[in-house]
Amino acid sequence: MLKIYIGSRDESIYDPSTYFDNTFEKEWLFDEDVKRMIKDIDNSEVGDDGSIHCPIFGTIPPRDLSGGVKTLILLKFDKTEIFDISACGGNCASWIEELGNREDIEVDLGYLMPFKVKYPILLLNPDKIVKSYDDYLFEYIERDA
Amino acid sequence: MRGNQFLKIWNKMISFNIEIKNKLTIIVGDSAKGKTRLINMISTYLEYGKSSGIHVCASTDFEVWTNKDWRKGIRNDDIYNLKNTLIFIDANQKFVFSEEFASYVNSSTNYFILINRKPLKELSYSFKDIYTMDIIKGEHKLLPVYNNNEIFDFSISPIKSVITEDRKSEELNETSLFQDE
Repeated sequence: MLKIYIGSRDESIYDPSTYFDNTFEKEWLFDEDVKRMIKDIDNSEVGDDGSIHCPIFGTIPPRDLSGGVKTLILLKFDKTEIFDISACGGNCASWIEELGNREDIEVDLGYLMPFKVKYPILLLNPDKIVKSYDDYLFEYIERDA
Repeated sequence: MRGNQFLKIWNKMISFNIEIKNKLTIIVGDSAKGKTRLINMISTYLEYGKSSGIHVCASTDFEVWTNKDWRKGIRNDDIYNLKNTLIFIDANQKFVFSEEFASYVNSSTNYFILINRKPLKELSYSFKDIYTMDIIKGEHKLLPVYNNNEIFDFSISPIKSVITEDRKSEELNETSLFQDE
């Protein structure tokens, strides 16, 4: 389940992009989900050798991926930290929901990300499971006030 | 500094044409739209100038600030000598949430362009200052996220009054939505 803390906690990684640049593992790029994330969000292709091809800049290093994609990759592969997903734009929301549906993922969130609430989400402060967008919106505003 | 400002920055592959209308400009929006790349290009140009291969045309001076720059600027008082400058700040720079920064913004003649999705509760800005970035005819530009008509359908709203901001006085006023109520 996707578990969301509304706000920022000191112990969380508030800059996933920089964290990614310093913890990246090349094998991650061979994962099918990662290839689809990079195509979907960054409009770039991962080649069979793990190289990333961007239509504007040609072959780019992983550090040039968007902050959103870097955060999605960390959510999938790094279970040691809690990440602030505010680095992700609204176009990452469905991916985050999907990852949270597959396994427990806990994150911090600093803005009203447009989740469709396709699967139940646990808001953590205080605990409340939301099952619709209206619930999510109401509970988010309560916590953010 | 008053009035509209602009910064155009480009290289052989990518071009940004940024119009800035107010003291505060907040850039939000989807991932991979070029927000951080804009900041990186400006930083690279500031460091290497013409040797970077980057070209810039701007209505006034410009800078990029990080947490480190802010701390150094506060320590040396440098920031208080800075006037009429466009200051670009990428996401995840924690100082933008501080009261100290808000106070500085209020008293400054500089314009601030912040990439930030989180609420900036210490700063006073309007929904009209919130933009997203997209590519229009091959150039990255800022587009307003909201316009007056999209914000709220007042005709079906149960809300009877709203808090409004008077930009000149910087005071908040409670205003009735409907004259006859």
